Amino acid sequence: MDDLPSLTDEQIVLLIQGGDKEKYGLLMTRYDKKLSRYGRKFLSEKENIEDIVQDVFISAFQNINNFDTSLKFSSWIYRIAHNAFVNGLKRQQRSAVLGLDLDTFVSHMTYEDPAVEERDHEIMKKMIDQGLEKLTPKCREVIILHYLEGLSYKEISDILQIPTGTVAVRVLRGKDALRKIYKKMNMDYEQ
Amino acid sequence: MNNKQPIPQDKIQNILEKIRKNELTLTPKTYFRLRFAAFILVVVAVLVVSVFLSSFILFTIRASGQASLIGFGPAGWQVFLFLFPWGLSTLEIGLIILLQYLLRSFKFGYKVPVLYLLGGVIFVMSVSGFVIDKTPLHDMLLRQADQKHLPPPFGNLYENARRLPPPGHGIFLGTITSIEGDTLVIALLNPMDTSTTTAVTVMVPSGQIIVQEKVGDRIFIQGKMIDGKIQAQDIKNANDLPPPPSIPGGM
Repeated sequence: MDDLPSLTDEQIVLLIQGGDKEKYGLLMTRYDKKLSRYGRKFLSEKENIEDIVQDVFISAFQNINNFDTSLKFSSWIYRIAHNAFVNGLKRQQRSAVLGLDLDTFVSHMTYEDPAVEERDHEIMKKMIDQGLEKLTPKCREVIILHYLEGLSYKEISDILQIPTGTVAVRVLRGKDALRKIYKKMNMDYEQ
Repeated sequence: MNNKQPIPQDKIQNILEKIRKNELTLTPKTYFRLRFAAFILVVVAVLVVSVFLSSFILFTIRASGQASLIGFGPAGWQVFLFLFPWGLSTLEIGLIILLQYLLRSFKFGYKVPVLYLLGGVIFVMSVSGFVIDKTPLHDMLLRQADQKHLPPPFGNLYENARRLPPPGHGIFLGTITSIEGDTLVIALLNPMDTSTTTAVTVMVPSGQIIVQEKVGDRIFIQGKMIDGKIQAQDIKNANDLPPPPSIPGGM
């Protein structure tokens, strides 16, 4: 389906906005698996996830004229998907995931070292799948976006609409929480 | 939502099919532009109302002479807290929270911590309120309200801006009509009806210098009303207050 790999998402959006609506298939192919995988971290029912992804694609298409092509399309569609999955989770759990968030009240320093990040990513990926459900929803979503979806703090900040420093703090808290969870299970974080 | 799980490729094909049949259409750019313009209008409206309200709160504090009441000590503080426009201040806090919430829809809004944004909004409101209060705007509108030229709700808002110390708290506001030694006669404003006054004698405490006070000056008096006379403990000049509507020059 993706026969125009050289085109960026944003260039494809420009074509769609210009009237070449058929190109939307390319974007859907690019994001279908990613969004489904992302949804699995929120919801357990595969059927429900696929329905939501479909709704996300429909909503993104209808609102694509509202997308500013100077920004990243991935952040935009993840934002739509995030809201849809959080709503799905709320319906499923009947509990609020979002609310007053003290982390967003103050400023936090951020630092991303590529070498440390790469090694960190590998270790975390292995651990995350096993301990994810025990994390708080706020920590869980940033850990998923950063370690499983490979998004930067800045992109996560745009998706969740929270300061970059808050993303960094939640990643740190999520990692600490996972360490504790694995310590309890007698598993080594470095393994 | 569907009950049947769509196969990924089917899902994409289904959506493409709907697009081809025009069952799924792009929302026009004009709609988003108009929606954004409406949103900006709401933000600006909230901002303007909020700035106006913050300056009006400062004006009511000035118009009631609340700042000078603090100088009377605990009794003055009591009256200050009584006269403080709590209702308007609560409304202002609500508007600030709403504005902060609206600003978080913008990229610059969610990129900064909530406390910084809230602090920034409060700072802008306070400074702009202070600056507007220094202009003749509110005094002019007050005169309009006194002449019943201001439509509601502004008319009512300004008519209630000048609040007198409540009875029973030992603080009075009046205009000096005569001075004889350590005795003053003042036209005491009636707290229930500011268009009427009562002539009251004020016994100035020994040692209180009243040479700077003259007939026509407006003063706050702290003291006790005994047999229709006020035994003053302290007197403060209140000439900075906007004149009451009944007093010539106040119109």
